[in-house]
Amino acid sequence: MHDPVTELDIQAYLDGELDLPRRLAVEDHLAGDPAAAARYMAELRAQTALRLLAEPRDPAPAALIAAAGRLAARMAPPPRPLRHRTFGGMAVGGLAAIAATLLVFVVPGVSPAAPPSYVGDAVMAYRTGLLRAELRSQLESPHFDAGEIQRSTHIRVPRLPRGWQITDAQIFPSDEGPALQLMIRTPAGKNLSVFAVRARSAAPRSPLAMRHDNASVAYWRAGDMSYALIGMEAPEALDLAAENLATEGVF
Amino acid sequence: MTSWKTSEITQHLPALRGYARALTRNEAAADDLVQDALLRAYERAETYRPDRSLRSWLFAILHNLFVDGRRRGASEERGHAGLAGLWADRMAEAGQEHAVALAEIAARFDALPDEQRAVLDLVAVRGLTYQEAADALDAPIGTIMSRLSRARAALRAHMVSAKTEAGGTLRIIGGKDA
Repeated sequence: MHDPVTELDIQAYLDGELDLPRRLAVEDHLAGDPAAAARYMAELRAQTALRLLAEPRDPAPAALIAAAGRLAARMAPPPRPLRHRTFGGMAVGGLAAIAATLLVFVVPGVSPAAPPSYVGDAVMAYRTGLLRAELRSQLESPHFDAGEIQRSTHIRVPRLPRGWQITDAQIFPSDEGPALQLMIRTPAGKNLSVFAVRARSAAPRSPLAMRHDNASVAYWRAGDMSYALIGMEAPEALDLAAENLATEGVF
Repeated sequence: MTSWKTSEITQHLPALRGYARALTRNEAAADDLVQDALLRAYERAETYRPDRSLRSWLFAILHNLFVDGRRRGASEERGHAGLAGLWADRMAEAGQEHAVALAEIAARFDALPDEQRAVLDLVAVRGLTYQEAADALDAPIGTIMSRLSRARAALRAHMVSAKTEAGGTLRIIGGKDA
């Protein structure tokens, strides 16, 4: 004989806490005991009555909504389902609908549509790159060679302006294939990133700059390569730098 | 990757406000309690672990604030109208035949000890799982279950006694023993 059904079991059944085999045991018990079944029904009705009474239906005061908004902004990003495996300690997540969250910086003469999907990945990779830079020891100053990176990854990287120092290089998988991110420090001490992926995206040939997720990003396409330049400066400044990169050509 | 949306927090506001009302039995005090809880959550945002249910974290913060306030005598200052008062419009809506029974339930729920009222509201009304309620009240699951059982028994017992006093004219929900 199985474990006898107790009052706590019946309560757990009411509260949806039992697994299927135990649910069956309770249902068997109630089916064979009309008094217990009647008590169960009474309990169910009392609970329904309580729910009916206890649900606040007046709208939440604005002050509470505002407090909720501040809390949402303060909390670290929740785990999202990852579509890609991590590589080199960094995960490139799937993208939510970017369009709703974009503030587009209008470049005169161009009316922008939603950016291609790699742009969201690129901005996220930038943020992670900033984090990695913070974690890295002060003493360590790795020296990256752009030509060598290209030779080993076969990803064509834009020719960088004089004085732009590559402080980190990461490869990771993305929807479009392997993508390369170079973290850059400019002579003025700004942290930027250059993101390159082999993809015939819908990015324009002439760079388009916008705000995305609290960063600025300029993105463009050259042939079968798509690029993004990301930083914390205003989009206008990035736009200019991206123009230079786009016209300078690649290594 | 984007941060939390406001809606992911505001979706819990009705349950938080309802729970706060069950605890404080005063509408204004309840909303103040929720406001304080959201502020406390803001201050302690780093303590939230993503593997844990957000709502049990929020409910825990709210419950702790309530207990702290009660210790300071905060609820005595405000007094409470009783849940029957708070829920009067809902009872009226439910119609003539249910009004009395609902008033009974409201009164008995109101009369429960704080800890029983808290656990019954969390599980039976707000739909938290036993584990979430255990986290929110910082108690073992066994305690949650026994407290819940006592709360429900208290509701039933009072209703049975009300029935025997009123004779056949009072329609009672629950408490019928064959």
